[in-house]
Amino acid sequence: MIRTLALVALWTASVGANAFTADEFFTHPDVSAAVLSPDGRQVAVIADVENEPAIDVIDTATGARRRLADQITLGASEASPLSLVWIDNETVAVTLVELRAGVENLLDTKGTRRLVMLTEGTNEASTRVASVRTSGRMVGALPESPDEFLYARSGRVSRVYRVRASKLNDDALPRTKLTRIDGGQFVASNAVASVDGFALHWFEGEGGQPHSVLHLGESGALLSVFRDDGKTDKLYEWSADTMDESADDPVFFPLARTRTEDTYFAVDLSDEERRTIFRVNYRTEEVDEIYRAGEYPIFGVTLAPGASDAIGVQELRDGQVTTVYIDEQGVRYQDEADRDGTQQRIRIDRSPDGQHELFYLEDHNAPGRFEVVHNRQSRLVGSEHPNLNARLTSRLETATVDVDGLTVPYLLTLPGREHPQPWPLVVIPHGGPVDVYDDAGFEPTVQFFAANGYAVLRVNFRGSGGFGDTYRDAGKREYGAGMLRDINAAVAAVAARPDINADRIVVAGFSYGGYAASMLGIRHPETYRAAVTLMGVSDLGLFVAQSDWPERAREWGEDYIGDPWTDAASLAEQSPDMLLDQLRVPLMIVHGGKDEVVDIEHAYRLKVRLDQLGKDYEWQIYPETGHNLGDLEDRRDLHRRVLAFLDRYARL
Amino acid sequence: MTGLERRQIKGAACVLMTFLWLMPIAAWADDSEVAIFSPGQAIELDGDEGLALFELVIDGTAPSMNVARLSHRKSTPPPHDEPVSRKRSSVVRLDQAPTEWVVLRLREGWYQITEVDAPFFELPYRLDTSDDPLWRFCVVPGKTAYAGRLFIAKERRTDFVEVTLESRIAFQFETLQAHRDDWFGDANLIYGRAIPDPYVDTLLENWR
Repeated sequence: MIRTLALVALWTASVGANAFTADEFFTHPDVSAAVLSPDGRQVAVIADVENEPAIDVIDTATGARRRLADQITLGASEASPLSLVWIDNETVAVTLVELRAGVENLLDTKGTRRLVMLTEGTNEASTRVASVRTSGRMVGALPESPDEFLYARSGRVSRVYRVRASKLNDDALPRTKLTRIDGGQFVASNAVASVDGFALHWFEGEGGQPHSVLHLGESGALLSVFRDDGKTDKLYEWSADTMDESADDPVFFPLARTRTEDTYFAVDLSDEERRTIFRVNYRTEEVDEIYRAGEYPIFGVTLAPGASDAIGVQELRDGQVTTVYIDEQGVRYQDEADRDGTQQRIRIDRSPDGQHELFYLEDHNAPGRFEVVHNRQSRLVGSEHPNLNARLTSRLETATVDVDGLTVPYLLTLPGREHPQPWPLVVIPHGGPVDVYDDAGFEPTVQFFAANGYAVLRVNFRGSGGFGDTYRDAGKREYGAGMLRDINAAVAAVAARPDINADRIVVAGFSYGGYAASMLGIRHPETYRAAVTLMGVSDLGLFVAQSDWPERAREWGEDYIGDPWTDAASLAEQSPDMLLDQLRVPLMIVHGGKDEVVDIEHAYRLKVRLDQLGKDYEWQIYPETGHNLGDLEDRRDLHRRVLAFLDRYARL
Repeated sequence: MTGLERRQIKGAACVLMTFLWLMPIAAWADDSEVAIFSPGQAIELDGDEGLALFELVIDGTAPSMNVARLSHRKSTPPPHDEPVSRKRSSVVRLDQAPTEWVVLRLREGWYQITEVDAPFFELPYRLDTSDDPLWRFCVVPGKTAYAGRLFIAKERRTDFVEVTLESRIAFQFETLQAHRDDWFGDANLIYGRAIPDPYVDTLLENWR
């Protein structure tokens, strides 16, 4: 009896020690993007105020933060700030995008973006707000010309105009018949560049001048580069029938220009998920994949102004535009040495005089922070999640294990020492699975479990990206075989550690990770005490026989997973929904009602079969969630439920 | 068109749909049109006829699909990787569907959905599926063959129309079980798609 009470007390202590609830852990980002003013004295940030966007300005010398504009001031009830650019030391340009109407439509010709100029006053109430009424989009600021910027209008002939922010109409002042829209600045004498056809995107050159333009021609779309005489040379052309989101061949749509000649960051329009950034040389047609997002589609890339070594990738997360900073190579950690948990530190902005630099910092156990360095002094000016700063005590270790002649890397996150050892272990196989990998960056789910006393194992099993083509291709047709062997080998290595409780191992994963979790639970009840599949594949044959997959995707599926016609029997042998009679451990099934990547049929196949077999299971459907972990409310609920489920079996 | 006009047209469409529900639709169909019924309707089958069951989740103005009988006489699915000759196609007017679940009365054999027409007001759209083996289904005399869920929708925020034919049999299994007697009667439910699906084979083994 006394022993039981002691165990209960120990368990309570371990859970209570620096534990986080899901509500406390998962929050909207306080700051999601930052830019440095030309003189380096201020940083403008996109902030969150009770789930609504605002623009704040932070004094880099004192750290004092004040509101430049809230959502009402921005007039942005249906829009979200996409990007910030300082026009000069007093004025910030905010590009707003209507999320419902056009954020994901890269071929947007309907003008879903809006530009607002915010000029600082002495307080928030005195901020001058001036919206550009003329339909179009900002090309860039002109660093050599304070108060001026370039703005593009698209039409039969598209033009770029030089515009003065101070001459735009003040939104607060009434307009009369005599008021000239936008100060009457969109006139031929202010045009600095033009091109025939509707321009979709202008690309800046050095000094802010237009360098190139993506525009529509008679037979399709063209990427044209400006010559010194103002005329253009065609760099690349797409015919109308290939510039289609349902195309069979990749359609690399340029989003931002790199510093390399003829080379742009691009996304593949034919990829429905649109989660990969490519570097494309349109002259040589060389293509490199440089970054792949985990859960969310990418719809924008920006080069950090003043810095040559970073880009921001814009993802739509939970209804908000979120910028993910990566270096220009596109990877957060460039080599093996950097994967060991070293802090990520990317310079994302620099004042023209080089005296002030703005860095983005991230650790495996600390979400993104923004830091200004001046005279070798650094100051924290903003954090994505200040509630977590310096509160997460986990440690990260990396190691490898040899399987079938392959060296399989893994990351082990250990909870802080305030949690009593030996720790229960949750194995989280990554999604994808091909070309996706886990790295040492901040992963909220991993840290949530670590903060609640779990060691967390993530394995970059064969097929994962970032380790070369040979390693990636070693994953071909190994979904239910070699990939699972790799995970098990890493689990065996970790379970042998004295600080890990080998009798308390559970597995949970998203997408392919959900498939792997189900399969590991079914096949290895001696190792795993419970399994959770989150938006997971349950039937490989069903997954590769999707009628809306273009030919290229079907070939990929046949190559990497199997042929749904000729390999039907072997795919069934590796499908959890066909193996549930062997299930001996508790299974939790979670799915989104609007999942367009792994159809909800996969979850129901498990449910219906388990009902037929009379087996218990945990079931949770989020009707509005797609192929991700949901909006903030669903995400909190999901983590709360999954933690409670795993606690039942990992903390007995 | 104003919102009021749109509502009026929608209201008229509802009345028309109710009318169609009550009328024997097959009476209007010409030779090249396949009659479309709700699963619970009393349908007399000739000796070589069976039913193909579809779940329809469709949008747009006057969507339709064309189906053609394949010259493949075996009970096993036709080869997926080589061309299969077929008869002249017939049209299935999906806007005449009486319910979300429908059955087509057809002669036994394998069928190819050759085309789906999904016109939207400003966006005429036609999907050619004539060479895609995923768009095949079978008809077995005296049986109801599950052919899949046909989905037609205009994607939000884009000018792209999404058209798919997928298996959603587990997702709808409760519905199918609930209507076991009134929908299927003696016409047992079988798996009717050409793509192999061992899961559904297992699921339906104990259907009766």
